[in-house]
This record gives sequence, C-alpha cells and structure tokens, in this order.
Amino acid sequence: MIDLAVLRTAVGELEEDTVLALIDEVMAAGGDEAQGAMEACREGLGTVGDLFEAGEYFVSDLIYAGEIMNQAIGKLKPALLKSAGEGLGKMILCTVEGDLHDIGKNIVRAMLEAAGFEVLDLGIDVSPAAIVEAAKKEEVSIIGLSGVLTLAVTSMKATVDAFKEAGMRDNVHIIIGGNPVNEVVCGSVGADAWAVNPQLTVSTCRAWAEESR
Amino acid sequence: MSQTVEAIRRERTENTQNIYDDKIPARVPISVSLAPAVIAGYAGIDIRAAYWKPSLLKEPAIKLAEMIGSDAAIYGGSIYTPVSSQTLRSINKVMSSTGYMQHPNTVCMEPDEYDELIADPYAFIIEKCIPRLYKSLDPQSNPWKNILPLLQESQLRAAVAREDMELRQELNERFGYPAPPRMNGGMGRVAMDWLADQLRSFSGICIDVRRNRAKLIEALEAIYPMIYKIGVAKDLNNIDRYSSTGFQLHMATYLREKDFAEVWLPTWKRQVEDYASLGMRISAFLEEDWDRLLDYVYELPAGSVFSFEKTDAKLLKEKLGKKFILSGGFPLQHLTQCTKDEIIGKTKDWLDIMAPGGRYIFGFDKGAITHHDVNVENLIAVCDTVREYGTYDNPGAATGEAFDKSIFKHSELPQFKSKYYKTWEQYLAEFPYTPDEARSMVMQSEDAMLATMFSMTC
Repeated sequence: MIDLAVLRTAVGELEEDTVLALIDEVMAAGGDEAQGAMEACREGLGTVGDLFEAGEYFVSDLIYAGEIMNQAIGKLKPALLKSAGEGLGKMILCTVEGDLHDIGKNIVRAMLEAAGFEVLDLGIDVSPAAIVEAAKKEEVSIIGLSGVLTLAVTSMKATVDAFKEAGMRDNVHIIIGGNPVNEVVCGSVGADAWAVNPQLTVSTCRAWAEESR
Repeated sequence: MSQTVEAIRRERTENTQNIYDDKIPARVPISVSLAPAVIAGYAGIDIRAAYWKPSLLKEPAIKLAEMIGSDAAIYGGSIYTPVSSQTLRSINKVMSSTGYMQHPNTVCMEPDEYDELIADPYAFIIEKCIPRLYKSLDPQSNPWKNILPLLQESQLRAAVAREDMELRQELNERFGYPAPPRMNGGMGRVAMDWLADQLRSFSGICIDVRRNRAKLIEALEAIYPMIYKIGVAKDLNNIDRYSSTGFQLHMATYLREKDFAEVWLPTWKRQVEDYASLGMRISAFLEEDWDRLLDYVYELPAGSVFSFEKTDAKLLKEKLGKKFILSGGFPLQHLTQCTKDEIIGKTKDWLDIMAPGGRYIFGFDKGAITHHDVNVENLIAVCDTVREYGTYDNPGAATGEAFDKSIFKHSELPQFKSKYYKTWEQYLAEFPYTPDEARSMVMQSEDAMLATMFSMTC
C-alpha cells in the first residue's frame, strides 16, 4: 500500500523521482492500486494548475508536470486497462490552420488526458474542413482550438463558421485557447469559451462532458 | 532627394538620436513597420510571390508610407523566407499552409548530447545541428546534393536581398526615413534561449532545467565564448551608442524565478556587462510579462533599450523609465478591436504614461503578422495622435541616467576555439605562402562562416 497523499503532494511539488518510485511500487505490488494512484496524480496535477493560476508556477512547470504525468500514466497503463473505469470521453484538440505552434496545445493535451479525456490530437495547421470532418467521423462534441499567432484568430472563426455551415454548430462545444485569445476575441470568433491556462480548459471541458452524460 | 525630404529625414534622425543621447526629443519617435505579409495582404498580393519578389510590394508600400506617419521605414522586411528554408529543406523555418513563415518547436540535440556540445559547440552545430535541421545538408547523402543546394541558396538569397534593398532604398529616399545606423552591433542571443529555441526545443529545455540542471549550466558556460563572439561589435575601435546588439528575450518569463536567476540570467548578464565595459549598447525585447522580474532588469547597464509586450506599462515606466530607454508595448489588438475615437483616446492615455521624461519610442507590443491584424485607418489615427499629442516643450534638455562604461569590468573570456575555426597561425600553417595582407580578409571570412552557421540555428 502506498500513501496516496504522499503521491498527490509529490505530483503537486513536481518531485519526479518520488512520483515514479511510488508508481513503480504500485505496479510491483500487482497494480491493484492503479486507479487510486491515477486519481492521486490527477489531484496533484490539479494543485499544479492552481499554483499556475496563482502565479506561483510557470509554463516550464506545466511542461515538467506533463512530462511526469506522461511517465506515470505510461507505467500505470497496463493495470488501468484491466480495471478500466469510465473516462470523460473523446474530444478533439488541434492548432488551427496557418499556425505551426504546438507547445501550448501539448501542455493542454497532457492535462486533459490526465483528467480522463481521450484526446484526438489532430496536430498543427489543421484546416476547418479537417476539424469538422474529424468531429463528424468520430462523433465528438467537444472541440479545443489552439493558436499562438494573431492569425490564429481568423482560423478559429473560420472553424466555428465551418461547423455552422455543416449544420453541426449546436451539437458541439468549442473552446479556444492561446496567446491571442481573450473575452473580446471569443465573442468575435463565436466560440463557447476561452482560456489562457490549461486548468480552466480542463474544468470547462469536464463540465461539458459531464453535462452531456 | 528633395530638400523637403532631406529636412524630414534630418528631423527624424535628430529626434531619435536625442533619445539615445539622454536628451528630451521634440516628440515621441514612432517605430512602426509592417511585415511583407501584411503589405501583401493589404494589396491582395499573394505573399508566396512577394517572398520571392519583394518588388511586388513597392506600390502598396508607397501607398501605406504616404498615409502612415511612422519614423521607421514602413516596409519591415522578413526574417524567415522560403527562399532559404525550402532550398535547404529546413525543418526549423517552415511555411504554413496559408503561406506564413514560422519557427515550429524543433529538436536538434538530444538530452544525452550535452557533453558533445560542451566539448566543441561550433563543431556540434556543424556536425549535428545543421544536418538535422536542414535535410539538404545531410552528410549521409551524395555530397554534391549538399553542395548544390548551398550554392543555390546563396545565389537565390542574394537575388532576393538585392530587390529587398532596392525597395528599402527607394522608400528611404522618397519618404525621408532615417538612414539605418551603421550596423556595428553583433547578433545578440541569450545562451539559454539559443539552446532552447532550436537545439533542445522549448519543452526540452523546461525538462532539462530540472533534470539536467548541472549539465545545462555547464553548457551555458561552454557556449559563452561563441555567443559573445557572435554578439560583440564588429569594429571594436569604432563603437558608437546609436547602434546596438539586439536580443529577443524568450524563455525568461516561462521559468520560475529560481531557474531564471540561477540558470537563465547569469550568462546573459555577464554578456551584457562585458559589452557595456566596451561601451556597447544593448537592446532587448521583453517577451510576455516581466512584472515579477523588473528588479533584475534594473541591474543592467543604464541606457539599454527595452521594448516590451505584456509587462505593465505604468510599473515599467515607474521602475525603469529613468535608467533605460523603453519602446513598444502598445497593444496591437487595439487596431482591430477599437473604433477610431476609442483608439485615439487609448493612444493619448498610453502617452500620458510612457512619454513623460522622454526616453520612450512608440511602437506596438508585437508585430502584425497578417493584414487581418491591422485596421489601416486606425493605424493612421494612432501615428497621427502620437505625432500631435506626444510632443515636448523642452527638447534637448538632459534626461535620465547617463551610461558610464567605467563601472563595468570585462570578465575573463576564454579564447574561442573549435576544430572548425582556424586562427591566423593555423591558417598559415596550412597555407604557408599566404601574405600578411590577407590576414584580416581570412579572419573576417572565418568569423562570417561562424556567424552563418550559427544563424542557421537561430
């Protein structure tokens, strides 16, 4: 039995060695505690998000937290598959057309996956048509659009418009994120929500996922 | 050039030079330029064509210059062009599907290669980084396939640069933009930013700063002589305060303070102070929000020029406004989110904060990337407002804290060495009949090759 509170704190304090040693212990004991360990990691990651929002952690801490979580999930995966619980479902994430930046998107993806989403990452420079097509094919109702450059705003709007043209706008929730995004941009783009920190993205998407259950 | 245009040029030059000479200018200088993609989009010209033929932008650039009262040439040129990147099959400078050149997050150094980098940074660039970043220069392929793209790139780049220069010259002569300062400043790079931007990647360096901290610090020390050499003034006997070595400060605000202070800052501070001891001026773009780091910035040499993005303008002016020259900061988004009256009001409010005491050059927080970022009518209104509202009644009066190079002591600098960089003695040993008259020419070419190879990783 590992102390889940210690694991939670270690993730929150970005103590990589402690986190991985505790996860190894869970797996060495047969993996029965994997679900509990995963939950503790999620809670620890929540602390990381809170500290980021409070200005105590910075982007490099989020990236490092994502790296720790990726390793932890990788180790826990065999045991988690055995006792698969209900996740938060699928969602789409990508950097919009014209923009090649993916650092923010990748941070958010790590956080969303840790929260329980199955993230369909469409990559960078993704056209509105490709996003709509993927949403249709995969029957996804939550769409995360990321961008760093100011030109991303135009593509975000084009993507929202493409959902309208496809007659799917009322079936999807769209959140936009990244450097050029704010309340005014969200309004002009016609998205449902906006975020400049991953914690807010996770909580918004989680609320949508739970609402649609 | 007509006398009127010459008078305009003189007024602009004097105005800006007053800023650099610690004097109050007649009015706040305006530094607004537009990227080729913005000008192309404004005129409905395909940017893909304009990258190859800058002369296509001549007509719209002239039209924009007639309307927009900037003191800097309205045509800003571009840093990345497909001419070089596609010829060399670059993966670090890439055009998006919509035609805009960008630098994606790339890796050309693995975490277990720190020792190799530390042993000979220039050799690491040549042997590891260049082949990984430029697929045409992979030594595993037929060597002629390496040489031909290099020759082609050089020829194409020169052809585009010629057109680019002709366009700039025509605009300068027609509109009286100040002659660019003698380019004596070097190419500024912060050691850790260079390592992050292209070698280890943004995300890679964020992990290294925790996992490989000691190696990272050792590497920053090891690359210092190269970084120093690239950024130092080209002519040390003729250093003036009108040209500067410029830096884009990238990683600083994304790090926690401990990592900033212990890892990012020390080599850059050393570099800036070494340059200050020679009398050089530095300029730097403070990317993102520097509010929490301003006390560190305050420790840098007086007269340094800082442009800024999201740092709180009031706080910046209050803390740094006397010691340094500030520029930029005005939110670009206002151009598309405000009405004309609103933006005029916002410009005046901005000048109320930034203009008092001089030492401020007006500019935006970031460069426009496409024409969608710019409402031209609003841009005209902003520049006109700065001209009319941003005036001083005591031009020429002394202001701010003067720079004093005598308070800076140059650090002990190890000689730059690499198996790919020949000293004059090594060159002579290989080619013994070379006359002494060739010495400066040969050494300049060694330095130019270093600068070229280095800039390919920037």
